[in-house]
Amino acid sequence: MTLSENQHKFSRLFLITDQALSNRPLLDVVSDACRAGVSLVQLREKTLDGKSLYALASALRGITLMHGARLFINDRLDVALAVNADGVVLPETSFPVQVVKHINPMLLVGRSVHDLDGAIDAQRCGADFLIVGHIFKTASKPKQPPRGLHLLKDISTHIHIPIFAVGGITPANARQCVQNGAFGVAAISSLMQSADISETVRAFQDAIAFVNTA
Amino acid sequence: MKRPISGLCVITDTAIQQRFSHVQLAELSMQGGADIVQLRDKTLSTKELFASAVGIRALSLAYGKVFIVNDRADIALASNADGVHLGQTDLPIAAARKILGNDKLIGATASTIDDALKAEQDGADYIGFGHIFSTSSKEKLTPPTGVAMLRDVLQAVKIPVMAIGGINQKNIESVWQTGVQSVAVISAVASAETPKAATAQLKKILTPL
Repeated sequence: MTLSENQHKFSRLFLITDQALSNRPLLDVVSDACRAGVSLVQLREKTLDGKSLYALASALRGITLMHGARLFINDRLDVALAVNADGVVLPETSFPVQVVKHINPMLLVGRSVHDLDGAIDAQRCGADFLIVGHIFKTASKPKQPPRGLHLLKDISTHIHIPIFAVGGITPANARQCVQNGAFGVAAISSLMQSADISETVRAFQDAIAFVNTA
Repeated sequence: MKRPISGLCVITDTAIQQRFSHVQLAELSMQGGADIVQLRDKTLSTKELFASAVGIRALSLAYGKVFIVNDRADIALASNADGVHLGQTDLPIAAARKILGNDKLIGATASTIDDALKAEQDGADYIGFGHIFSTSSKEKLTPPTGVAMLRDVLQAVKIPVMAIGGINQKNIESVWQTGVQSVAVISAVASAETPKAATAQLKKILTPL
């Protein structure tokens, strides 16, 4: 890893929550992950109502601050603003990026995209980073075929903002994602379902560190 | 500047009817004389809801009407609506206030006097009280409050009250006679053959007492 990459404002491993996949309380999982070195957390719980999501986001804000980690909220800008999250992750069915930047220029905005056009558009609109997927087969998107590593390669040649690969990401395939142009990886089930989260985080970090991306 | 809550509120609903979009229903209601339009949809994506909100906001400015977004303080903020209406399972009032500031309206749903007092204490600008009558538009966990309890709430709180739930052409007068500041209807307009005419008829009943 080069010095400039070390100084980059993002670390390379993103945890995305999914309570339904976890056997343990979400706050414990995130707490353990942060302790193990995860510094990017996205709260993504699509079935929760505003009240429950706000309560969970408030608790996660406390945990992430304690560990110096960044907290992002999926889709719900109001929840992000209310708990002083660091940013939002906007699916393509969410707000336009510019609308969020107009409301609060300090808020980091990530955009979930599935193709090159979406990626180019998101970067043009001022997104700070992209979450690109799904790259591999995943239980969270059973109906759509995976996009494959070549999507990362395509997008990374046209995009200068950090790209996180998502969808079926494990410590075993994370390295390939980075080798194909991803800045980092976003993991859902690998972390949510891990029996030993600090071990899994270490495995991820080993897999994506010192990759020659040149 | 905070807009006053008074008169007839029409809540847009595209679940009980599919003839009109949210924006179309909003415009017909405004043309019929609605004072307030509330955008409510629990199923649309944020992108779609935002697009509807922007459309209704433009109309509400053109017609000089109040525009409220149900549930989503972010949509209210992004579309520059006049405020947000929060149900019991939505964001806490204080959280919405932090985002929207003091110039926007925050309404809160209450179905008991205690709920109403709590909402007032938490900083709501108005209470959405109900459901007054039985209604088919939502699954209800509590029995209808009736007009008598509405009178009690009006005595108990100082902020404006909007009566909601099962209010139609036939019973709206009995609700209005309580002295309630505002009355909200859903199916009475959305499911009417001509929403504009239905709004006008309801509005006629809500002349100052």
